[in-house]
Amino acid sequence: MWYQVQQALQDSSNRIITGLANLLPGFVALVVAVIVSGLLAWIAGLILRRFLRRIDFDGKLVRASGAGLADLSPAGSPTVLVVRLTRWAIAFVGLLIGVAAFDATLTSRLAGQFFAYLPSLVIAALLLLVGNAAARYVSREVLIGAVNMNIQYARLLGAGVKWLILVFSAALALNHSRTRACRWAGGSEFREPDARKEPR
Amino acid sequence: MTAANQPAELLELLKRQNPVQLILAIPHSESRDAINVAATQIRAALAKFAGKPRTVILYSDTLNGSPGEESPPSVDDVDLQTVPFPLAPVTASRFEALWPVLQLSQALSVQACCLWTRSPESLTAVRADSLLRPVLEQQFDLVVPRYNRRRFESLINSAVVYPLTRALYGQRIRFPMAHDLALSANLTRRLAEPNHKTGQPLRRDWITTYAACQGLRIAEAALDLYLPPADSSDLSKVLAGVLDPLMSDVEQNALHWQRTRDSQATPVFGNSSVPAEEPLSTDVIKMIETFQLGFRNLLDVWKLVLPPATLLELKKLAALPADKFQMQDDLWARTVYDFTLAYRLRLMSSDHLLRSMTPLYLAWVAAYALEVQGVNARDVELRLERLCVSFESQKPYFLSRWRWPDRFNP
Repeated sequence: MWYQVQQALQDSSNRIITGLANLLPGFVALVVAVIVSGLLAWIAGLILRRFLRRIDFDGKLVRASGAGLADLSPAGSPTVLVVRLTRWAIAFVGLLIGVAAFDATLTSRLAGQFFAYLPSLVIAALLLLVGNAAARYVSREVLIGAVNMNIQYARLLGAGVKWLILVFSAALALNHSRTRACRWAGGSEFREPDARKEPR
Repeated sequence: MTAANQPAELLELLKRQNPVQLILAIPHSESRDAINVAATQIRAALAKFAGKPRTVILYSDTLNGSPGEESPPSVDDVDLQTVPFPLAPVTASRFEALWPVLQLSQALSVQACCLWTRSPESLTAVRADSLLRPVLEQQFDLVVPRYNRRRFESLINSAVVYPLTRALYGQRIRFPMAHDLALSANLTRRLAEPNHKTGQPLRRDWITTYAACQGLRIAEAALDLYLPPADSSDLSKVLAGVLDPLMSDVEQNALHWQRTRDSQATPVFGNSSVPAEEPLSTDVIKMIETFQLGFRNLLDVWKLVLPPATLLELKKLAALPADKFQMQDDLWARTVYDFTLAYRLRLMSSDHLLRSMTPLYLAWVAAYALEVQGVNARDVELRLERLCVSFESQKPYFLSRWRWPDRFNP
């Protein structure tokens, strides 16, 4: 009996160790992919920033499209916006490669889910972006107006209006993405044709 | 009085008669009597001119007498005619009011045309002489009025518009925004040229700076007249309304003013009286408080516009007590230049940019009010002259920032 217990323990240890040994290269590949993509993102951002500064990207773009884009960008610079978007895109692709190396079936399932959910994500991101721009513009409008009217709590008013619009746009974005996510999670797109029939 | 109301009909009618040498447009015509008074004064003024130029006075065709009231007899004769004409009121844009007059003047090849936006009765023979003689007899291309200036009036002009245009365009025109003008045939022809592609008028709201850029001869006419009181209910709106077209004009004429060096005096025709002493009626303490509030709250906005050295000086200024409050001219000049550059770079919406300048402008007004209260009119003039000299001395700073804006950015 002791032999059988010993055998069972040995088998389970072997299975765990074999499983871990099978998983380890994928995990190392994931870590390497994330590190390399992070490094690439940093280098690409650096090169892109220098290039855009050299061609006066901010100035040209703002002259062509007005001050709205500068208001939209972090630190008032469209260059920073482009550099950040590029860095995050490269980092995200690196992460996907890493996850693919980790587990191919998981990745394909994740990718499928991700692309099904992508339109909702894009719309939610757009809502957040527009809300952010509107919040900046309106809060500045309120702040300047309040200062010129000699209102002592001008900054509070400006900040209040800004957060009000931000929360509202975030709620809109969340509501939109959650509705789509619920529909998706509920499986309306993946149910069998019979299951979509209206209940009598 | 001519019956023709349409410009084309009027043109045909006038072309059939003796050549017209002068067209005078009075958009704000209140009554037929007022037009007759102006016509009598103009006739008296023109009688002293060599050759007695034949003149047509255009007044608004919307002018109607009261129902049942008989129109007073016209004072027209061979040398002077009064004609109703579709004149736009000079409210938002001076150029819109001037455009049909320019078209008619060019079609008739007149020697001079004149826009008088005040009441017709205020155009006396002496004022008409000062305004018209430089164009009709001295070969000047543009004559603008030099209004009398009370120390606490037209301060946006004194603080920004006059010093900035003087430093940039090199012409010491005291009121570059003046609505009343006399133009030569040469300037009329240039202004009446439409856009070659669209056929639409080329809007030139700043005729003084356009004439300066074109190298035309400019004179001022001292009319012994004050500016009408401005609407000051919303200062930031007024400030933005004045500075927006001014800075846009600076941007358009950048090639010209970068080549201009020192300013030159403009010939002045006519005489004006010394303005009476005026008590300080503005609340200086409130202005200083608004500036201090602006410094505490608008620093994030100003950081986008002003370099660190200027912000540091503003910080020191905000900490000063009211009795020692004094804004250096160089600091104010650099601030105006920095905002002009920010306008060009579109660092934020122009409305936000210019309205955020209001506390800074109030700081200048407060410092100016504290400095000039109790001094005589001559010292006030000297004070404003020092400010203009500062704007001129800081022009190289503006040139550097204009050419290499990134070099100074924080």
